Amino acid sequence: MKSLETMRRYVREPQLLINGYRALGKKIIGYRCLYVPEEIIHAAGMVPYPLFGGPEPISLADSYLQPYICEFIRNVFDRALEGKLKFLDGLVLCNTCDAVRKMYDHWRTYIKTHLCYIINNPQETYSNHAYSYYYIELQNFRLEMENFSGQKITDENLARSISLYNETRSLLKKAYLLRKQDPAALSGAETLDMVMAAMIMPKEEANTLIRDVLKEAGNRVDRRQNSGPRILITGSIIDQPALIRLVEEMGGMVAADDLCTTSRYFWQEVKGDNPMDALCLYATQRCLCPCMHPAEKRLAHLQELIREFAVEGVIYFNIKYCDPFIFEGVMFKEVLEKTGIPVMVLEAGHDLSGIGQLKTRVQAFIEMLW
Amino acid sequence: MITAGIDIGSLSSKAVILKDGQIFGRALTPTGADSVQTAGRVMQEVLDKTGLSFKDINFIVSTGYGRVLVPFAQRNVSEISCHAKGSSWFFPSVRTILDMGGQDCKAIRCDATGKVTNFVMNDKCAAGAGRSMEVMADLLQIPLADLGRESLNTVRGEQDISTTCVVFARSEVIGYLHQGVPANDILGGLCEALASRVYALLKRVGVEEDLVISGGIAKNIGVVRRIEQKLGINAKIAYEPQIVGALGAAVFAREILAKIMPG
Amino acid sequence: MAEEVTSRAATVLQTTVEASRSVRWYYEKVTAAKKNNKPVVWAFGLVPREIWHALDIPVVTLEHFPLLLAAKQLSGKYSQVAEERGFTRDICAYHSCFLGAALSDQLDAYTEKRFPSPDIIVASNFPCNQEVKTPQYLAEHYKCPFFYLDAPINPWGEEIKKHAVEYYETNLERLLVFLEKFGYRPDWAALQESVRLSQHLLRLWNKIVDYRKKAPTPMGAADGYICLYPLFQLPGTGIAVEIYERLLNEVRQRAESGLGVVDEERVRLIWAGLPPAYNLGLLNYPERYGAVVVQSELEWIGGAILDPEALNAKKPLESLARKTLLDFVNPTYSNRINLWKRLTREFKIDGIIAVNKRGCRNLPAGNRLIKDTVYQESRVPMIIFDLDGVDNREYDDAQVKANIDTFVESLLSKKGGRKQ
Repeated sequence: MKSLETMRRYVREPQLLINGYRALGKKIIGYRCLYVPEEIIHAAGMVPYPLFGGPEPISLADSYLQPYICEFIRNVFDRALEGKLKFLDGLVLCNTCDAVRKMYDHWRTYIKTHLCYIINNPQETYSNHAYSYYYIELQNFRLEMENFSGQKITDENLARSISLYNETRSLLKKAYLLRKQDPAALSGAETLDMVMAAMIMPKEEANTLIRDVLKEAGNRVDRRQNSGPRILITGSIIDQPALIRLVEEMGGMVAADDLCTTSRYFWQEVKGDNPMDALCLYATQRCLCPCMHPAEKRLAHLQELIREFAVEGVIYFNIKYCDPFIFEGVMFKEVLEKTGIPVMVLEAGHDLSGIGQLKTRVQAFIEMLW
Repeated sequence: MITAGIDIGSLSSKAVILKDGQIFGRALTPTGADSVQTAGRVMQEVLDKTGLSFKDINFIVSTGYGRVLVPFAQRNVSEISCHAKGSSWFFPSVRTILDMGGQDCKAIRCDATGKVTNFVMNDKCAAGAGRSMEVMADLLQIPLADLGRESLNTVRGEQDISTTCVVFARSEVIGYLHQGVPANDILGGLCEALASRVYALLKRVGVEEDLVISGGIAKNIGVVRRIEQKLGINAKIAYEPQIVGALGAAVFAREILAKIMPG
Repeated sequence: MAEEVTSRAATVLQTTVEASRSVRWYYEKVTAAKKNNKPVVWAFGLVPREIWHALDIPVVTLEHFPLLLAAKQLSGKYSQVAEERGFTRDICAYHSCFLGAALSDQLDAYTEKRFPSPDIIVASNFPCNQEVKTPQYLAEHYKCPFFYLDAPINPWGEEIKKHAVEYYETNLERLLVFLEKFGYRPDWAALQESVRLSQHLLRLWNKIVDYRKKAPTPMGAADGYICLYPLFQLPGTGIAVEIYERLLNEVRQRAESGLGVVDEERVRLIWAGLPPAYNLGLLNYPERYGAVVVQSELEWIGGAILDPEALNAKKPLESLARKTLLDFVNPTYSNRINLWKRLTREFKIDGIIAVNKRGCRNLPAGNRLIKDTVYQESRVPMIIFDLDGVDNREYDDAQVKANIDTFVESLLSKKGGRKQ
């Protein structure tokens, strides 16, 4: 598929995109993680750019962030220390997991971009009090982005950014839903590539390409029916397709995934007439990450995915030292297994070191479900 | 119907030939640097022993760490499924299997047909596995086969071992030797440390009788007794525990064959 | 190895004995309350303790109970129980130990006596993610009413933003409403009194700290660790104030007569991170070199860095919000950095011993940052090594002491050089 190939290439060579942004004279704002409202950065004429890990082993970061911190964040920070993120004009973080929050002071001290900002979002969702508090945080953030970009963010611009990003969300969801069918027109690994590309690309271009993917997927003849068990992958960030590909190679069908590089990115849309209200509502009624409260919302979401996508088994992928998912894995495993859905917790480094052993576990899990 | 199972483990490789539902031959050899070569060697060995040749074998299933590196196997199955299947062949009443291999350790639950229903595996680390015992046997200069028995004969009681990492345990053990702690007491502590780690693993899948212990460490009576004590039940030890995986693979081969061969 | 471990700290103050008695007093109070069918709260995260004491709510806190178990060498045993349930060994030992004790089929006699089952579970996300996860799990396990207290982080340092204070204050109000369901009526006057006592306690603490800055220091980290209980767990009670009044007197007297922790104080150290609760004697270990651990960073937990005058008994909840959000253990480090700048400046210290705790994502992750900041400010060096303050299973006495030996010797030789 040509469109998918193009998107995959951007994931592998993001420099192509970065050069493009630079050529347009755009400021690039790195961010982590999904509770940073990209639309506000975009409406200020800048590029919100999600940070991912790289394939190289961590070298410098270990002496700054001790090795008992999430390997993904250490990897990102390592890339910054190595000068690989020099293209960033600034960094925006939010109040989610401990590792992300640790990066705030480390970045300010050791990387020193012109901007390093942390949005103090509430961790309680579906609460009116949280809503009015977050509204002020959001206003402050909007002002900060205006100051940094030197460009006023009008409500019109913000509304336009929201509808552009919403379009990306709804297109991605359409592509994601293809896996309800068997044979599925897109594999799990392909979906991951597509979403990651859409996350870093200019949304106009991403939207065109996803539309092409949807068109081309309809005419695909290379996809076969998969008789293997239907699996849901959830857990810590996955920013390379190796694990999903492994499950698929072993005969499993990755029917759904709940990851911050896939469905959590686009599952809901920003809705409402007033753009600030809409963004505020979006963030405070969105419990897609185990750092957020209440946990029942996430459990209900997972159970809905399990039902909708006829999932037969769940793989919990935990990056070592990722507390939110370590705990959630134990908790939800007990709950889901009571409902007859086997859950396997897979713990690994961000680089999936020891993939040989992972392979054994994944294979055994699939054999068990077969 | 003749099938073969071949298990390429991290330390040793095994092959089993099943003929008409009976173990017809078996072989065991250390795993060399080249797994493909090792696979060929252990297969040849078992063929020589049984007087069969490659073309007599109807179906071959590989398993173990190097299962994808066996060029002549028609299918590969994970060692977890094979251990359950193999144990169930030896003991149809088995519901829980503890397999302690060279590099890792698995606790497996299965149903009456030997199909896996749940499992956990320890981290990728030699702790709680055969490798650490080899290192210690070497260090204490006690033959590997005698470790378990000696560990039950402590002089002043088990020496507490604080670390479970084989690298650090090594330096801790050297320290105790310098302090004059009897080797048997250190061994007692090592077996105890191993047993309590394994116990935690077993608790995670939940133990239902019968429990079968397989893998190299099943031969270590010191570890086995301590596990039994913690659980308050007796374990069954697979006869030739090291070939359980290969046997399970051969049984899988038989089942697959039965499915594809009509009648 | 076992012979050499000195698990008890050598303390020098009379009042320290009283402080340690207050621990037993409080746990007995909680057990008695449970017997009288008073609903017991298990609290996780740094929920302001003043609230419990104001409303006379018996509470077992995660921040303290595992330390008791560790001191009795029981922490590793209970952590293993949690591991049997599928929690990895990489989670915080405070949590695995607490979880293990809660999930154990059978408790040892010591724990049994101090660990009443919960009727209410309250958790705050301050200061880390795990603080919410364990209680969620346990609330499910005990089928217990659960309250979540959301706390914003504080990336602003001392200039904390008004809307964040107000948000936390509102959430405290919601907590009070929640507690009312269990018969704990919100009592405004009691809350005001509690904050007033807490403020008084902080004033006493600050005076004591001033004496401890003197050389030789009249009170070291070993006493400090034990005296932390009333300051951290009993603020807002009269008993904490009484103990601290006596503590201040004793420290003042010692300071005025020039009594130090060791005969000749040659090196002054501060401990960063958690000292090993199962082997507190380690805080005394450097004393063989004439080196005194003057304080541990931990003594400032619970908002002790706050200027007492920033508390206002007329506005109890706002005061408690400030006290919490300014705590140095905040997920972002601005206040921890401020604390360290102050400590190195005011305590005239020669070195810092910092420990990495495997299960902790909070303080240890900032050790290098503190090291660099302090070094830039005042050239004071810091050694960092692995040591879990709660989990005793992987404690390697020889290795830990070798680290301290090397560090103190280097400080001594530097000092010797400077004198000449």
